[in-house]
Amino acid sequence: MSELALPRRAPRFHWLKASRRQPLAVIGATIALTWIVIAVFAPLIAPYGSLAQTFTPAQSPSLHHLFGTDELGRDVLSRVIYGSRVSIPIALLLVALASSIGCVVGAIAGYFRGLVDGALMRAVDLFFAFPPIILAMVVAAVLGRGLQNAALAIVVVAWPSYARVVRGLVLSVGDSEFVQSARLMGTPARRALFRDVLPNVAGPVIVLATLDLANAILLLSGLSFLGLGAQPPQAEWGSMVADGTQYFQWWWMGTFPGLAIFTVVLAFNFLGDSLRDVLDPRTAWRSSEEQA
Amino acid sequence: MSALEVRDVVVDYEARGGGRVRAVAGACLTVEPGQIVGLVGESGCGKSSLARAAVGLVAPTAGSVFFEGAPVSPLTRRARPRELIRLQLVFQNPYSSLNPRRKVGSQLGDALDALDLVPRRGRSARVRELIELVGLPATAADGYPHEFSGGQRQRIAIARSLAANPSVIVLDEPLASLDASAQAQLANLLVDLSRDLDLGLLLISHDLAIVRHIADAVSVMYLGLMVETGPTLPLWQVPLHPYSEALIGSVPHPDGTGFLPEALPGEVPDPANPPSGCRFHPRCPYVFDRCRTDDPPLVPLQDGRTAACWLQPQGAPVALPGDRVKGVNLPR
Amino acid sequence: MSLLEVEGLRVRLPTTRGLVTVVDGVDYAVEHGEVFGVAGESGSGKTMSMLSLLGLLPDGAVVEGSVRFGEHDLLRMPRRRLREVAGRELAMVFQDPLTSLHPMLSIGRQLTEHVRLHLGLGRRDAERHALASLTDVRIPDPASALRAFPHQFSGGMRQRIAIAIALACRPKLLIADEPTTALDVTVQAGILRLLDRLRRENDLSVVLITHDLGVMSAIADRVSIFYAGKVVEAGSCEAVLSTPRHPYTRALLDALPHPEGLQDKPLVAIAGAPPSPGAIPSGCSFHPRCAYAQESCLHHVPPLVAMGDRLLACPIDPLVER
Repeated sequence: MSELALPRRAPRFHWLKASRRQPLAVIGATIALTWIVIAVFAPLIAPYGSLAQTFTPAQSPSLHHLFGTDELGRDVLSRVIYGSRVSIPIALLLVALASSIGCVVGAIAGYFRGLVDGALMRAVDLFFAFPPIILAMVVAAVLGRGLQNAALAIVVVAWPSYARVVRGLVLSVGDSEFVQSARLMGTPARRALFRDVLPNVAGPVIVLATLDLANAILLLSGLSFLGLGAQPPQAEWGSMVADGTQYFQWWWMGTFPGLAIFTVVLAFNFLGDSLRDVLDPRTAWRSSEEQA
Repeated sequence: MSALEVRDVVVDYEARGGGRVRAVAGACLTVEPGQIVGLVGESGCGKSSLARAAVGLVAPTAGSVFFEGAPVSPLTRRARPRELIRLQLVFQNPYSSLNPRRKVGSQLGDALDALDLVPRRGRSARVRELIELVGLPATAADGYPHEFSGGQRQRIAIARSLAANPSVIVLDEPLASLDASAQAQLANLLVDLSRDLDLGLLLISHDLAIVRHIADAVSVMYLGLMVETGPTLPLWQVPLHPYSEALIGSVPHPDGTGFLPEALPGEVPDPANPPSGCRFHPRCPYVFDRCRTDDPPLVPLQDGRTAACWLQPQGAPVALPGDRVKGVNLPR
Repeated sequence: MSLLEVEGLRVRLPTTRGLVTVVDGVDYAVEHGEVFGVAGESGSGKTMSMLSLLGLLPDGAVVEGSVRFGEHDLLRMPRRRLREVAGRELAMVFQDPLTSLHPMLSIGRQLTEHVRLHLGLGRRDAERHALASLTDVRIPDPASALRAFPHQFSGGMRQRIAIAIALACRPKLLIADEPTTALDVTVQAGILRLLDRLRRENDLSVVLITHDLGVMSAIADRVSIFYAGKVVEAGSCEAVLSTPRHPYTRALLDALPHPEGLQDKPLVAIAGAPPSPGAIPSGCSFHPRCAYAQESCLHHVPPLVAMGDRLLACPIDPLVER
């Protein structure tokens, strides 16, 4: 005498259907994937070496040099392609690092509350008191020029926002009835944190991380642009744009690395936005599932 | 010894803007093994706060709760003491009381892991057994909560609390979010479980008809206090407190007779600022002077009933408050 | 002539799996000054059938049939005109007044704006009108209520205010969708009495949509029982609820505890769950859950036909069998 209707299976994922419902996600994922493939196979794809100064300097784009050559006679296309090997993996690593630190701090603050929470969150507030680019510049300048130090500076700037978001989420999920139920079953607080709280926090953090990838790439390029990041002659998009600004008459030198930054940032933003729609329980997609 | 005893429990909440709100103002309640006790009252009367205090989810400001004779300690960072795990709570909303990202079977296993009563190897078999006990196919263990309907989820939530091998379950509006047919199925399930497992149930509900149908005893709560307790049917036939009378009179009858229920005038007062004297006096049709100044205590009457009303003196025989107004010389 | 006449109403809604039929050929009529009850479980199409009258369905919904309201044909009316008619002569009250009241506007503003738009009253007159409307629904201290905001009222008072706003333009028909479901019984009784009084005093017709047969029994004159997008039984409230003849109506009533019934009689639950739109069983859509189902129920859709004092969509009629 019960509702013996069989449990419904979750619908399978179809690329085509997904593209109709979330066109931006598909566009973003496609561009991001393309860039990752380019980064991995850069030596096979790039027509020339990134450091080879073998051509006439400052040629405008042509069939031989699709993006032209720079003031030292290097092929801009090859340098843009090699540049992806710097920005993308570093950004991925940075975001992974920053989100891990932020998650740990946020989870501790949100779950155990009280004094711990107060102390950690005031520390976080301190980081928020400065504009991120200024803070990153200061840290990078103190640590010394170089890609490694610039990366470290970005981690320092990025983790507090994760800490804050994760703390808020852990606060609300920690109060939820399913966590209370688990606690009433005799689950210790720490185990409930790992089994019941954190998995439900993961979605928004992944969204934030995706959006933050774009930020990290921008920030890294910015630091390089200011001379604090990648040092010449390494091919890095930000420093290439910086070089380009010194030679305005040779527009291709700055424009193409700039476009590269633009597309990658746009791709991760699309991806992050769509992920938010999919993972956010308030959007129609989830609620229609519940009603059906 | 009662399975669950709530003694003069007071629960305060921090109100927005600093002050404190007294949600429960000294409530008493007992649940015997195998007994279904209904707790009824309007929303905002402190039913849910009392439920949370009873299982230790919130710490009472004053008073104490005893489970099988031992005091119930509020939940801390540590695991709940083993002996308390046999006191369980089922929430109103089965959409938020189950973790959306864990399989049903895994969530049912929590209590088994904590209690270690069943050897590790037998746990998945025990989980399946529990799921079948609440009338779902054993394969439900491999599903996620979103794959089930509201009624099925509430069954899962009940199965999860049964995993703790409980002797008392507090149910906070377990039927409120369900359709009529699912409601009836679940109500019958609760009665069966209570009888078969000698389970004490504290059923908190605003649906008086359901409470009347399945509860053995009823407590009526108004603005943080019990105003009447007693065995269900006698209480229904002759409510002793004017509030119980009003509550029962406001339930519609689904029988086509066109019975138009009585409305209770006025509103539930703000618990942060309760009326003087008897808390019900501004809405009471039988109010007299004493009610405005003195708060009536909950006193025992005949036939195992209690009421907190100046019209019902201690030890008095059972009579409707209206009859008393006519028949008894009021102590003015 | 009836106030509202609905014939062959069919509503299909767009979903990810294509169009799904949620209301499947429904007929009914609402008379002047009566409370017409529409009962059914969630997903039975009772709300959708009403939203379709007001043009409030989601984009892409397909509505067929005819709906005559007074001299208007609601389904064949331009959107703009429908909004005009619907604003003045038809009104709707929802389950949760918090979502239908604007949280940032004072009650007075919400009441007067509506009146000024549809009745063309000046500010002074509109305010007097608003005061009268609030008094009519028994809001204590209506003058100060005009200056207050929705969150300052309890659920019951908010529902009264929502009713006041709905009735401000003196509509002929009020559609109340689960108006008391979110309220306590004590407050519910007050709202039911209010609706009952308003229809008697103002010659108002009310369509009461609810899953609660107790509420239905209290104030409805006639009822239609919905199941899976169809009417399965219809007639006077008294006849349908006191001697139900469709197995579904009967099962619904058996599943309900009666506040004066015998206690030891266990509630008879209906087996299974209501079908979801898009997965309606063949033949009589209730047959998989029906205790009286026969072979023929699997194949033939029983038509809604007159049977004595009511309309019934079941050839078996459990009452006769007993």
